[in-house]
Amino acid sequence: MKAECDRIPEGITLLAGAFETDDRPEITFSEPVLDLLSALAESIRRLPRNEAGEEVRALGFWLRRAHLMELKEKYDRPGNIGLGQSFHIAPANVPLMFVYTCAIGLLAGNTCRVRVSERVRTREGELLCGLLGGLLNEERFAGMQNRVSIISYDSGRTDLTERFSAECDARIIWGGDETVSRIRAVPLKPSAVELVFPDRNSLAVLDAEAVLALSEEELGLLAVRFYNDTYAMDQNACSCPKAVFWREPDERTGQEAADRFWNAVFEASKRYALSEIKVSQKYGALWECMGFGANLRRIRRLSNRLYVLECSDVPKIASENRMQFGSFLEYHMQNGDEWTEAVSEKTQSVTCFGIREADLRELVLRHRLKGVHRVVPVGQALRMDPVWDGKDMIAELSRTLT
Amino acid sequence: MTYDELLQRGPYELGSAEKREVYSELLSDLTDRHRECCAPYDRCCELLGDRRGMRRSPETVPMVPVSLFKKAELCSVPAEEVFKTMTSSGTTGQQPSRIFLDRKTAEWQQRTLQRIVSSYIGEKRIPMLIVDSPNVLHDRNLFSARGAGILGFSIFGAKRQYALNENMELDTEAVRSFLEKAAGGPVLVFGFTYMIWKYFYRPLKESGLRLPLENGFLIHGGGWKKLQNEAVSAEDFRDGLFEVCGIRDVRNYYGMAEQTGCIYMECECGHLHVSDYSEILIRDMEDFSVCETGKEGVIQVITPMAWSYPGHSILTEDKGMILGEDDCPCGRKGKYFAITGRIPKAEIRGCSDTYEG
Repeated sequence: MKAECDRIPEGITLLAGAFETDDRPEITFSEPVLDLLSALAESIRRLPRNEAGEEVRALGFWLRRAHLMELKEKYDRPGNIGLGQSFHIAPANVPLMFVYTCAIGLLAGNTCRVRVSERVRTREGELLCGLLGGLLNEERFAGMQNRVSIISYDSGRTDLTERFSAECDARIIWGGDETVSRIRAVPLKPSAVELVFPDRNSLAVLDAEAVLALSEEELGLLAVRFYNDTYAMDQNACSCPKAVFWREPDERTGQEAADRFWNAVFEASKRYALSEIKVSQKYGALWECMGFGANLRRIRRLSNRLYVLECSDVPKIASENRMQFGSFLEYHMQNGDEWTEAVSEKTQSVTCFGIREADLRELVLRHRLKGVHRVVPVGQALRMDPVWDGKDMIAELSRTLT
Repeated sequence: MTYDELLQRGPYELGSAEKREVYSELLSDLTDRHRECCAPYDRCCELLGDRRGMRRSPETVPMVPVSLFKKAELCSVPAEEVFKTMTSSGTTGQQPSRIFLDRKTAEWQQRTLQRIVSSYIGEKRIPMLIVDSPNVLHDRNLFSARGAGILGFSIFGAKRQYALNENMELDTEAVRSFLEKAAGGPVLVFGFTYMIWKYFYRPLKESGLRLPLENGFLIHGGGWKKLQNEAVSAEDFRDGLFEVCGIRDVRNYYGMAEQTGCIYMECECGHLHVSDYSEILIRDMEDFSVCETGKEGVIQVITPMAWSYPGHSILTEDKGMILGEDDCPCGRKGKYFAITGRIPKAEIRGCSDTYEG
């Protein structure tokens, strides 16, 4: 272990796995990888309730063997093999994303080097690094030990980003547009592939009659799902809806459904950790939007937990990053299609309720939209899938032998 | 009552009932005026449920978030009547606030400050030692908060001396000869809290030099944040200055560029006081309900002085609590309060800026 430490360049903290890696590719969905990831799921499952927050539990659920087998069924092509080493730059503010991106890289048959930001070193992040590192040090995972390298270094150390970029066979950049542009400028091997995930925005389409038809209990569940899609990430992740579009037969039905829905969301939001800084920022954003933004018909304020800004015109959400911490633009559609006008190449997810997902996908195709990569039911906005932003990561990070 | 008439009174004579009456009238008229003259402000008020012509109380006047002055231009007078634009640097890296002043508002600011401060140091002008460098005024296109503070307070100085040179070094010779001329009489020492500590107290302490300021009156403002980071308490500050120049009267004040002139001076009992020219409410950020005395929350500042821009009711990013009203042992009417810090920045989730840190 000491000799290992000696080889780690100054300024790098090794959080799990090894620094020196074995860069030979492995077949996709290999047994050792499935064993390691499902063992991690098991470690998470055994955590005491008070140590594992919702996000950690969701990750554990995602990593369990049954789910991995579903993914294998869906995305594996027998005979496929990885590229070699993949270098992942994980996002700073989605604490557990580094585990998902690493897991997908491993399933695709690669050795993964994952750079996490110093800021990600939250309690949950440290917890996961501890669990993963612990497993990798076990005898039964000796073969995986040098195929995972979770590291942290200062973002100013371009030399390190350059080094890892030159070494890798694939680079995956999660992040804001600025990060993507900056790191894209760092050269890769000519044969290396690159996947980038720049800024995106998302929206929800709800059917008014379907909302009105719900029992109180069902409504509460829908509200909790909507809460999980948005508040859980401070509404800041790319797939968190910023705007809600109502499909309605007439204005009155639309307003009744909106009243009912938002009151239920307000109830659900009562468990949100609403800090003073969040209120300060969201109240500031509210004034910006009211004074200088979209044309608004009315606003709803349910204490400071929920702000809903009803727009008179289809809201432009492409550059809308002000809707945070429980603030939503809202639009009541005339013909049920107008949400497509809000879509740009930056639009990622459409969540829906009371509308067939296939119908919404059909509209994306018919209107030949540049944006919208996934349509999922309300409640699944943050669910990670190996196909992300329309890219099949397993396919992109592996190769097919013919 | 108009604001001009209000300025004839005070600065600490209105009891809570009378103040509420006066403020409800002044603020209602002022809100209507800003709604008429500043379209973005009008849109916001309408959406928040404010109705033109309605009778408002200090609690119900819409609160403008202080960040809005950094993000947008808010002005209630025609462009040609803007006499000067004030900026505040705010937190580093942020856009400054821009406050548009017409002649009347600028004059009101000056008179407000004068009424408040002279009630502490007297009407007579006295020699003034400014703990800053004269450079601070040289950037003329934009009016900085530090420069504005110095210019504002300069009206109290009979003769003025900057204590620091261009390199922010204590100009010992100039200060000594200035104090010799003052001959042990009253001297106003003015500066920003952190500047006084770093560029005045420290060099004096290190050099072992003692300045004769036994009859000095020190007024400092601008915030404790930097000194808190260095674990310097209000008491350390006071004791340290007494040690290096024998000064006993050391007064903090709270104020902001968005409502320049309406400062909150520390009284003999160590309390920050609200004058008749402004009002303070403490808001609970859960739902903006008004906090009762003794409960900490976020500070809202209100003043009928803000005529040329809609900044008569502002939600700040500072935290504090009301300690009492009309009953401070110092005898001044009005609320008195304590600042407890700024809203803490917290980790916020999301994937918009990944690579930082």
